[in-house]
Amino acid sequence: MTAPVPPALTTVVVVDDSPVQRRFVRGAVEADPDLTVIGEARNGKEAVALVARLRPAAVLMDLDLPVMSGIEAIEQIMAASPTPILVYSAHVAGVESANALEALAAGAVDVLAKPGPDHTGSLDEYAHQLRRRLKVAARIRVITHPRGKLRTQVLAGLPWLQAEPGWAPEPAEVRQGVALIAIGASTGGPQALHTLLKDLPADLTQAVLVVQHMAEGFIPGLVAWLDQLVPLSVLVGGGGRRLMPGTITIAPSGANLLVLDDRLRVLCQPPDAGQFHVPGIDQCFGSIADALGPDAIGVLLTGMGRDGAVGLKAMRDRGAVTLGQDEATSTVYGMPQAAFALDAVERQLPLDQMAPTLLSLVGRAT
Amino acid sequence: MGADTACVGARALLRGEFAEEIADRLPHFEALRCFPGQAALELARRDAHTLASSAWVVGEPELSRVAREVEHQLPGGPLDELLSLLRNWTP
Repeated sequence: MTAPVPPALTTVVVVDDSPVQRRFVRGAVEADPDLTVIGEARNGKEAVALVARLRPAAVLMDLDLPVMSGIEAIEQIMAASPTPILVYSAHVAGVESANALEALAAGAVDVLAKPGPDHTGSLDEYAHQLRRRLKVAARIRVITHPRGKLRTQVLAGLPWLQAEPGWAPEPAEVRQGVALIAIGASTGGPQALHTLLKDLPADLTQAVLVVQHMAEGFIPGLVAWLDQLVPLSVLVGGGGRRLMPGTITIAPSGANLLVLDDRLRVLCQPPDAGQFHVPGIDQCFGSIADALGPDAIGVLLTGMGRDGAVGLKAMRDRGAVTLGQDEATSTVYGMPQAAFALDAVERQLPLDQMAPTLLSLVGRAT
Repeated sequence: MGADTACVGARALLRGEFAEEIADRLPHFEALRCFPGQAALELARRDAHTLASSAWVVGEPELSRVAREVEHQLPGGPLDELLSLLRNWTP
């Protein structure tokens, strides 16, 4: 008879220049018997060396660090020793949410606001959230970012984005009457959205709707960030408005954005009781299936969990073309995999083939 | 004892660490009074940022609020009030 094998501990490296924060985080993290802190770094430079040496399951990192900034450290870690990084910083919420997007673009998998004087929750709640988010982050399979950031000019040279030799997507049949391209994304989404949306031309005649899982307050930063990087205009959606051709609308946080009819009018609806992901991709895609039937295209990108699979299936069942991101290029192959398993995905594609395929489908030469 | 209770119980230990952190950073704010150059400003801003978060963790919301105001308003802001609060922590 063999003794039961204890589950492997999730190892964590903490990066913060404050001894108070490091002590607090160590106590909070190790209150969970499945988590252990195996190293502490006081600045970005120490973090890069420590992560390379210890190879933890996850890194918890502040952004405002001496010697080397958190963003630069994330880039270097993701280039040399890819590790899921959860950023916790006081500079990622509200008007500073652009910092969160920058961290995600550099390769961090999640961002948590470090509490301060305006925080209304308790220390216990914050500690609980730290543990929960760390455990989720540690399960994420990350990939090397050879130069840290996914810069446009570098994308073509990234080996993980390149298709196998000789591979080419099947030509997409042109679909007449498509009015809306709907995209759902979660973990890894901001980088993936940038990669896809940068290749949609400014004179696109379809409306684009994006549902990205994101905590309250981060959507304006995502919108501002994308708006600088992609040819189409990017704005936050709101109830009572219409989705406009040639415009990317990002669903706001805190509600589900539903498409009401073929005039592309939208409604913001409070989340369902117990709904985990807000804004919900399933709810949005389901409304599009009802409102537009075959006159929409659904795209499900990288993300943890299952949100979007049921909604994408509804779209496919109503005649829409549906695309899912493939495993090789997904930061997390959870949502696309769930959709694929549900037979909701008509075509599974590498990320860099999404935009060319969409343009082929709407009759635009690429 | 639950995980959260243990976490809160550790706050007392954190306060000792916080006093040491203040002792390390207080001279930077005092120096700002004498040598208000860009480097001193940047150092003080980073210290105020760190103290704002640390003060919240150790259960000092007023100090956290004042430190955050100083962080955002330097070279203005309630620097004297922050110095006064920080000196309460020094022996």
